Amino acid sequence: MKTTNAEAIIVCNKVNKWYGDFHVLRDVSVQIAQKEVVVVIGPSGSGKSTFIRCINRLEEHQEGDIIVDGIPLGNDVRNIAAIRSEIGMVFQQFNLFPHLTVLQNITLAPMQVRRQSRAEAERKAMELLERVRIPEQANKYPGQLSGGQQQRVAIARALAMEPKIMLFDEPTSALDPEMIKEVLEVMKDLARSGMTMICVTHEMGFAQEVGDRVLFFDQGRIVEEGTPETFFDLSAEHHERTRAFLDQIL
Amino acid sequence: MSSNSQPTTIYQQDVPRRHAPITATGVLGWMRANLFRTWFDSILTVVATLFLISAIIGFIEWTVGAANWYSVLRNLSNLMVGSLQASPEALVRVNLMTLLLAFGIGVSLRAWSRVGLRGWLWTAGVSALFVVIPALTSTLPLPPSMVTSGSIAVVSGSVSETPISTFTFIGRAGETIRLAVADEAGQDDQNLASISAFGDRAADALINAARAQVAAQTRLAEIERLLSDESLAAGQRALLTSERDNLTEDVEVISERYALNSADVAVRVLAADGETVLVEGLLSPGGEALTYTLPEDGWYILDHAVQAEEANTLLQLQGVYPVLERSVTRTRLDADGNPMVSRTGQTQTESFIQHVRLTDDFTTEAAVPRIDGEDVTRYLFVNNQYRGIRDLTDYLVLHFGPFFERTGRAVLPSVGLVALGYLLMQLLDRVLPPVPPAPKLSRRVAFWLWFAMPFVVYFIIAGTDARNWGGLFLTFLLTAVGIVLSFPIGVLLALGRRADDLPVVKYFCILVIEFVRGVPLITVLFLASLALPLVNPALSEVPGAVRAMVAITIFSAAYLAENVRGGLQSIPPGQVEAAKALGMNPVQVTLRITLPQALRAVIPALVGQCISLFKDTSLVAIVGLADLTRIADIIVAQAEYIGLRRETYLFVAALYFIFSFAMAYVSRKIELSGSGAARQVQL
Repeated sequence: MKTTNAEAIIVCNKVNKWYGDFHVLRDVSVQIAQKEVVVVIGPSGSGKSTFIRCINRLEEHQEGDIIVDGIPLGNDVRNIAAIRSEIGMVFQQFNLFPHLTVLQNITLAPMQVRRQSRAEAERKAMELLERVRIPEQANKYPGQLSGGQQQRVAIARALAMEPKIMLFDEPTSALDPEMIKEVLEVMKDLARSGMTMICVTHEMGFAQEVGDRVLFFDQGRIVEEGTPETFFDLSAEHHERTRAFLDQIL
Repeated sequence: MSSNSQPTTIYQQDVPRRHAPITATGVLGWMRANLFRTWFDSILTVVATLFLISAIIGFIEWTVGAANWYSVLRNLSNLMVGSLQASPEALVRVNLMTLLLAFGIGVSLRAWSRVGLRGWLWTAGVSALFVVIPALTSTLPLPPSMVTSGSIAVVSGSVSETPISTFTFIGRAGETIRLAVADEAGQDDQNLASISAFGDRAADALINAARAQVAAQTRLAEIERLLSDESLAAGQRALLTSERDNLTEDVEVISERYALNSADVAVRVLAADGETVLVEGLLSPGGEALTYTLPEDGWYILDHAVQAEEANTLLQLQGVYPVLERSVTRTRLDADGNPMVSRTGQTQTESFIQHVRLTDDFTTEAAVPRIDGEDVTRYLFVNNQYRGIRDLTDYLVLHFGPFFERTGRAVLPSVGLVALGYLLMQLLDRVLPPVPPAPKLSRRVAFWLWFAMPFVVYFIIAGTDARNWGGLFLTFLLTAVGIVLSFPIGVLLALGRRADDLPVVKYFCILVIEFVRGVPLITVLFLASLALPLVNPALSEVPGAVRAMVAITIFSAAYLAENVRGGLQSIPPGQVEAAKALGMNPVQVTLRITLPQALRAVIPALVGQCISLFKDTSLVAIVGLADLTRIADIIVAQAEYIGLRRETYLFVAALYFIFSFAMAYVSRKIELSGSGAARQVQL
């Protein structure tokens, strides 16, 4: 599903990043269309997490352009704030705020950043908790929930800011096998509802089921890109690195 | 895979759940696991238990039998407020503050906690002690006073005491005094040795001599018993014989040597003018007692004379008790009862001597009687202390009961205000129940109450003279101001030290923190009290207590900053990332995410610091402030409390402990509240 510039909500052009002298992202260029679900896969240390963390400026890139919804990402604090309020992010380690209840976790940013009233923020939070299927946990603290429940709260927390784009950074990697499914179900619902999503994940089933496009990272660059059907088709033509990777996981 | 694999083994039979074995649960299990796990543990447990038991028994024996708690009992208000006790208005203000704080504690208890039936029962029970114990002990008889009347100086060891024939004491109108010969006590040395009562120095010498005599008799009997053994070696026998000879030379019956209770005594009670004879009579051994009802409050003179050339008679007096002499400073009042103010605007004070009866609070300011222009010996605590080993009754009536009675005057109203605050808030929450998710109304009241508290307390205290602040009150003030002010400063310093993108702020904070941490608190106190006035003479007008507060605040802030920094460092970076990803700005991230978590993480360290600050305030004595510890120093330096160091400092230590423990207790409660409870699950 190739996209044109006009529809693209995220444009990355020759993005380069170094940690000290180590070149982690090398000329990463990609365009992501609205409502597209992009799955980023690749071996550990290939730069895929760093890539999506650059998109909401949790990491700073040194060269190239990142434009989100027409806003260029640079050192301008206002642009960063504007972009962050359009992008929701879900982390591998959930990163829920342990000192706040589930409800407070979800309502904090809408009240602080969007200046919503408590009543409105809480009404919406409860809707979101219904959507991720744990409304009954609203007044518990994160420490009292299972990993799967925590990750679903984290998704609800990100959605509360009504983002146009959702970034998922290995959302199921820290979960027990029995809990992965409940999180993936929520993510699939989200994908079907038309959310623009970039998911770093090792869940190949998920990639095949809801992904529109697969990006394969290796050593800081995109080595292959394509639809899930062709990407996971061993009989198709592949980069040798991709083939080695697919041989390991399929 | 499926073609050649064996089928899996399936275990259908369920294993039923059982209770843990009895030896693994309950008290028994706990003891096994904690006290007697290995033979080494068992030895440690036994040794520690024996040590603990002997220490406790020793402490109780000392407390009941020997400890003299008058230094504490008679100085409670001194220990609490120091020199402020001289001003009735200041006392009202301090009491008001105390009650307000108690009320606040009650409100907070309701807002953030629950007092169950057990809590109420405990409170009621403990409060009742302060009523019941004094009520019960006041029904017990007071010990008598033993006074020696006679002409022979009493010798005991190197001490020689001549009986004093005239002394003066204080009494109240309507009280009956009873004078009699101490027949039983003077009968023989056994009885003499076991006297426990107030007494004069000659009586003390008699008791000691009788004790030595009784001990010698016992030893003699022992030696006789050993010598009667035929198989005794010759050397041993010689040794014992010479010891017996030495002893028999010394041993003489004390009651015979002083012709004890062989002669009559003529006694007279005179009025304070030293001339009017109120009552007189002749007391004879085995005879009637003389009783007399005192006509008015004030001083009386008792004189007694033995009716024989060479005889001593021991008198037993009821209703005559030692007094404490103390110097009191208080505001001078003019004819209309208003405080007198000097031209410089300072309230004038005056000092005068008070006499307080030891066994109750009866106080007189009347002049000590004089005869022929000379002061008469007073029946004073220093000379007429309790003699002998105190029995339980005397301990209860002289120390235990009065202590509860006096402390009850402060404790009972405070507990009452705590209960009042709690119940009022309960009523409030019941009448106006909160609409979820709004917090309870009581919580809002408590928040605003504590927010306003520093200002209200300041308003109350501003009316007192800071130069007179002292005792526990000063200790509290220094601690409270230190904590309240150093908290925001410390947090700012911690945040500043972590501000990597503001190097000027960062290095300024590092400089302040490391400089203050690099010098002892004493140095900071000295700087504040001595060096600052050199910088600007106007600063010497600032009371010492306020300057000490500044020093303590700065000192505490530096340490607090490091604690908070530790907490900030313990926050996983993912927390900040998550908050940033949600679009929160740095201020919001700090106030809503990192700081709350950091502070919660370091509650134990922060409270630890509060506790050590509380105790460190005792250092202000060095710069001339009379805090709790310093007041104790002053008390034990007074003549009438000489030798009462242990009791005084023990009480002060107990005070420090009670409040430190309370702080630690509240800290544990806070740690376990809110997400703290959840955190326990997570761990």
